[in-house]
Amino acid sequence: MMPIIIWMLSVPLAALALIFLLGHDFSRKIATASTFLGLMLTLFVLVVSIADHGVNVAEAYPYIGSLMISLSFRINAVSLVLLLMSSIVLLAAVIAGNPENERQKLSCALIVLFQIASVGLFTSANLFFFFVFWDVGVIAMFFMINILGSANRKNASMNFLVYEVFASALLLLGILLLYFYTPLHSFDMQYIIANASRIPQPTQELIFLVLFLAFMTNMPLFPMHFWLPDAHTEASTQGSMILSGVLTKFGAFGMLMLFAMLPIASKYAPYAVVLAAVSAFYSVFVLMKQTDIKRIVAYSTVVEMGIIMIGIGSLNSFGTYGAVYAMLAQGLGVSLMFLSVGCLKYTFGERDIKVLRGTVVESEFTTYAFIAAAVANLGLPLTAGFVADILMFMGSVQTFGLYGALPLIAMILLGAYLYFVINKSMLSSREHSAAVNFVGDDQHIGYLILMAALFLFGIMPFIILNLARL
Amino acid sequence: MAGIIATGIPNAIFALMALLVASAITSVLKKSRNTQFLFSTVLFAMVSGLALVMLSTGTSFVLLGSLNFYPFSLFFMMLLSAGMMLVNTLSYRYSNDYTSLSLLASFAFVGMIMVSASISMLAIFLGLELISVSTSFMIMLGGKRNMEAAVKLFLLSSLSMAAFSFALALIFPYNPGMMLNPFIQNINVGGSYLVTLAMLLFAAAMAFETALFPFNLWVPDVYQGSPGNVTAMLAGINKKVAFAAFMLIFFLVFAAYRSMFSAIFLVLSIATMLFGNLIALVQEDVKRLFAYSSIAQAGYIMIGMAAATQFGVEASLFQIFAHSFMIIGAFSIILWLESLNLRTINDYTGLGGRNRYAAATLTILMLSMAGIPPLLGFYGKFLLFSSAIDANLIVLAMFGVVNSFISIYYYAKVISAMYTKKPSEKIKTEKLALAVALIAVIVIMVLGLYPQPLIAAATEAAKSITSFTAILPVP
Amino acid sequence: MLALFVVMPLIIAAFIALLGNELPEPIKYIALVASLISLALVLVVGFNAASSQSTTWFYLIWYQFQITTSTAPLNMLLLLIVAVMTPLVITYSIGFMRVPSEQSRYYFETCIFAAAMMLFAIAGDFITMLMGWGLLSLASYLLIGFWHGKDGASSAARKAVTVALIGDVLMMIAVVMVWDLYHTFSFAAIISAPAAPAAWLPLLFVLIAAFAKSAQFPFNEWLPDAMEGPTPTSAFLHSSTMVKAGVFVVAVLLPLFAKLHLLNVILFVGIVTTIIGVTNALTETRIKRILAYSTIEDLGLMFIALGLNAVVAAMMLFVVQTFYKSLLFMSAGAIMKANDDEDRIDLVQSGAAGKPLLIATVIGVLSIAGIFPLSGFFGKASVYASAATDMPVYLVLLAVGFASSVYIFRWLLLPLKKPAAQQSRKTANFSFIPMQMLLPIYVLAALVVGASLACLRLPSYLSAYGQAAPLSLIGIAAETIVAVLGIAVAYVYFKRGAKKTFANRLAQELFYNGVFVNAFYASVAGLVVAASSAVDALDYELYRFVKMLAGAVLGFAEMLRHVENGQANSYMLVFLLGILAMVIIFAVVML
Repeated sequence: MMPIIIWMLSVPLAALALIFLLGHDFSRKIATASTFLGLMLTLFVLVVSIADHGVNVAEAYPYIGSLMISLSFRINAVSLVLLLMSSIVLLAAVIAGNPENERQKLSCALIVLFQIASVGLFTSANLFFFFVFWDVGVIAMFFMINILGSANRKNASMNFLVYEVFASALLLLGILLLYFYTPLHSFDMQYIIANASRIPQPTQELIFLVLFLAFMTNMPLFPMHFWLPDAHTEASTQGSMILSGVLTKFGAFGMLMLFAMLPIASKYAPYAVVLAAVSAFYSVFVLMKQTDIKRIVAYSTVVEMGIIMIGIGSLNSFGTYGAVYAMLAQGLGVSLMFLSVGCLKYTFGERDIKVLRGTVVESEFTTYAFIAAAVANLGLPLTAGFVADILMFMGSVQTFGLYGALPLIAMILLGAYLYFVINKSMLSSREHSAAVNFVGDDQHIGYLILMAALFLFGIMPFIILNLARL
Repeated sequence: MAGIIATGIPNAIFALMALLVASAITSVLKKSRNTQFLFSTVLFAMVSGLALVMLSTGTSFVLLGSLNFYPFSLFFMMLLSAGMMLVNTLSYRYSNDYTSLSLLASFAFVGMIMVSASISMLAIFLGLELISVSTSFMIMLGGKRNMEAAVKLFLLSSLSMAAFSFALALIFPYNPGMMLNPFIQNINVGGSYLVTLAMLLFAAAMAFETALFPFNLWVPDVYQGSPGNVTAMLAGINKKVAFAAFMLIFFLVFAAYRSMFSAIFLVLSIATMLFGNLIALVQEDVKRLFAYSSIAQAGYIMIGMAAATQFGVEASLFQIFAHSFMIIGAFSIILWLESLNLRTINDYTGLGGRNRYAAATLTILMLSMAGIPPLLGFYGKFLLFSSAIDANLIVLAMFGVVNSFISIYYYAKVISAMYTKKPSEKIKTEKLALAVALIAVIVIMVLGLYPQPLIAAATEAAKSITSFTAILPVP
Repeated sequence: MLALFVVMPLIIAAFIALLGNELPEPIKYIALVASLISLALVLVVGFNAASSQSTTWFYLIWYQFQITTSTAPLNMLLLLIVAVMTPLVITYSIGFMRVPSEQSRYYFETCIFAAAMMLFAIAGDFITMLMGWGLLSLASYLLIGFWHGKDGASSAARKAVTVALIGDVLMMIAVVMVWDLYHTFSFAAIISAPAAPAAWLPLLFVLIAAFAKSAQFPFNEWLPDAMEGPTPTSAFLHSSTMVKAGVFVVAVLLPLFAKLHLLNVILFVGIVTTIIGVTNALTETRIKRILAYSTIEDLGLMFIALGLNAVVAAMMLFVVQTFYKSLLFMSAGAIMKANDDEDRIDLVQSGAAGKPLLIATVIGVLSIAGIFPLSGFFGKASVYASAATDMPVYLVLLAVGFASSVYIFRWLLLPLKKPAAQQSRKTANFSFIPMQMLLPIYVLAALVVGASLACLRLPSYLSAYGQAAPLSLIGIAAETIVAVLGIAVAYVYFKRGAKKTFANRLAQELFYNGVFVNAFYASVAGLVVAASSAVDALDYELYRFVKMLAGAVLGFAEMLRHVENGQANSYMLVFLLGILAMVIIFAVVML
């Protein structure tokens, strides 16, 4: 079997080098090619897996023998889904990207760097490389916010970095503890999953606490969520798409692994779920007071992540696969929302719903893209969000009964406010804001890519879910 | 092959020493900067290369009955001469009185070799003294402004050397030859108190040299007050030599008292890390910021020593290597910018636009110091924290991790400032300074991607002092 | 999966509409053709396909998610209604919607709605039903707020979608809870399984969701506001099809409700809603809104019938209500069109050009009042008959019947006082109503009459669901008398244009009680907003706290840096103190 994962990593690596060498004019094309190839390779793996009725790609190369760290990768069903989502989001980000078209070389280089990080993280089979790629992604995003963001970017990016490095510091500690307390020291994830029950109980609790805190900060969940709204308000369109679309999935993926790995997680799962529910409701209420559309979408990420956490915490296959599907749906949906919000800002110069009016008059496609994204996030049938919600809540009701289903009420509030925003600023045209710029075909293609993916995975979930079939 | 090397090396060393003498004489007589620079660079490069070859083939021998070349000392020699080569380049470019400075540097270098290849504590003492005095003079060469730093260094190092000699005196009865031999634990009770006192005094003296809290108060003042090239040497080289001495004394002489000194080191390490990182948070002057940063880095290195296992020593050695390059590279850029009168973070604002290379190299070096993969600094910290957990010092690992997190703030502050948009005129690239920084960056990036060789070297070196393969029998 | 094919033509038409922005003309006719094809397919499928078919949608490990379609009599009824209404409404729209730039969007949304409604109608399990349910909410939102520039349309759409959201979420909660109890989604399986007592809660949620969708108390106020949308939409969604989705769900699951003793809830809510419907209709002044309250009343009656476990009666009213209600909406639309969209006019005085329209309208009005032999009579009579054993309910129904007659004739007869000059122009305008608008009206009028025959056959068609209560002669007599009395009262009071409102202030307040419900919505919304403000303030404080912690660290660091005072002698002192400290600590520890 050809070393496809190495290809997935080498293509963006080569692209990164090319961008630095060939300069500004080619950077966009190179980045597009890189993300497109990444998507093609992922689809190739998907097709092969469907034919084989199961995903089973693994590669390993020796690296540091003395510490028993090998360059090992694997793709399983969960990581395939996340790879798929991240490659679609990255492709859309590069193509549609910044309508302002500034600083292309740097933004393309950072996106390609992020592609390396996300592919590496989702395919890494040992914890060491998980950590390495995590940090690379965080740094790439830091620079994206710090250099390419808007007015208050310095503060927001420092905030972001402090929180994320806090998470990665805890992650490192947790990984090291896992390494040393499993019988035969190893970073290999399979091995740890198989042997985690042999870690002494108090150490397990410590590891769980540390790793939970780390992943919670990245997802984010209340009370570690303060960095997200500010980071989004200041980041560029591409930055936001990738931040909420892909980077937050690092933490969600890690959380999924944590609950699969440590037996003690089942003891704490109810508390985690309560925290997640509190986080979701809290964020919904804060969201309803916001007037900057980008902040609203940012808080919706926190809400969705809370719900995903509930799915993970249900500890059954419905909850887990529902959470994975929800990561897919939310990643695509929130990227589309950020893209359309960015285009609205570019078109009208405004993002505040107190000022923005009747965008549908002068910017129809963007408005409908936003509406499509909003309803997708709310779980409209025939979008991926519907399948995700059904699965997740089937899982959580199985474990928690009525209380497992109650967090759906947060969706009522979220939906009500989103529709309020849509009505106030977009679909009512008694007075309408004047357009100062117009977005081009690139942005339209970006919308179409994301919308097509959302509907495709909503109408045909078997493409992915049949991979998990027994 | 080994045979040829084994016979050829002593000759090579003699040849080198001859070269050293020749260069010293030439410099004094001819006062030609370029020749001196050429000589010293070649000298340092050859020593480093030689040490690397010997390390990789695993040869070890004793020279003249007093210099013991075994993996540990070879490791340091390789590192120190590479570092001296870089510092030498900086001095060539930026120092007023290069020839005198280079002469002093050679004296210091001799001292360094004495310390790392020593077989007796007296040799360590002499070597350290040689280094401190030379360094103080090197600082003075910078001019009137640097006088305060030089005096502080001199005074305080005398104090620490006094402590060192007192400690030596205390253990004299038990070790007349003052050889680096391990003590047997069951000395009678009275003796064991004295041994403990001696250990503490050694620790204090070494802590001074390696800038551990609370003995490191001199560091920021001296670093800030010295000319940049000497600061680079102080941070990158002197400190590392002191670590060598530290390790030799404690892991060879007091090997049996591991649990005790591990506890001392643990406290020192935590205190140092916190002190360095916290104060760095509020620094505005970049040179001082890096001074505090290297204090914190010393704290990290102490984690490995607190673990007091072979793995711990290996981790410390790794980080010593990494930090040496990182800090010399960083100070080369700082030195370059200082010559243009850019001293504070405010001055550094907009550097990204003014000179891409300076900003980029400094960014990479800082990210490495913060412990961001896949750079070398990350591996160092990784190994250090691993060794702490391996030795069951989870609290220490926690502190290390938390401090690593704290440090990102001030590094990111500088990076953020550098990449702020601020229209100002361009800075012309200073080739030599940039070259030094680039060498450091290349080492960090290459070894960061493939650290296996360095890990192997560090393991060898660590093994050699923790498993007593290099102890000479008492004559 | 034959049944799914019925939606195909509409979906294709919808996409053509979406993409055919440049060709407004063909879109309309494509949509019309597609709806006719769908109708044909429904007839073919309905009477040929097996009763219930499932296909696998996707797997999750071991569990199969299926899409089940059912062509049971109940489903077929709804499907037929939708399939018949769609071409009629589209024809009407061709005449009503004249602005070229709106065509593409309108036909897209309408076709999507029709497809979703058909999907809902043939649903045989909860998943499929839920899919249709969610899509219906979206389509309703888009169509109500269709005219972006219109003042009340946006807020009406928002109110509708908020209520719909509540319904959607509650329905989803109910679905997952039902799955947890029964481990299947299929309606047939769940109904025939032994009832789990814990199922009352999810089924209560289903009920509440159904009430939300069908504008029952306390969710009733979204429907009158929804009249801001285009009239074809009002005729389609908000009178004949979508609002009855709730009734349909309850009808399908009625055996379960019976087993779990929830019928009384349905009955109670139905009664309250019916009363609300008639009282508001009596005091409302805008024609479409009156019809909206009338729809609420009809739905309430259907729920009363269901609450009395009389599925056949409910379905009879279900079918006939479609025709007379959409007939009245369409004629209201025609009237408004002829009078440049004013809300109240004098139809009776419209002259010769408006005569056919007037006749059709009167047919519809009489049908609502329940006059034999129009189909409305059969519908209402069967509902009354099912309450025959429950005297209080029966009396309430009689009172409601009386009030219905009154208000519907009020609707017909009450003109607006207008200047004489404008009155003369009216006659002429009526001749400009396009044929496409009038044709469906006539068809519906015919259907109103013709459906009477179908009503006679309906009980046997629905025999699987229960028996219809027999119509007693006394009952029929009582109802007819009541209805005629109502007509007489209306004629007397409203013929000459007096009394749009009650003279008595209190009665007016009580009867026009939609305002109270709206006030209730506003207070709920206010509570939510207040909670949101509180949490936001909390968030701000927490963030400030976190920043304060960070500041404390920096402050501590600032304090710490003063250890470095630059004085060498203090450094030496610290050096010595450090040694001393170490010695002391170790002395203490070792001893």
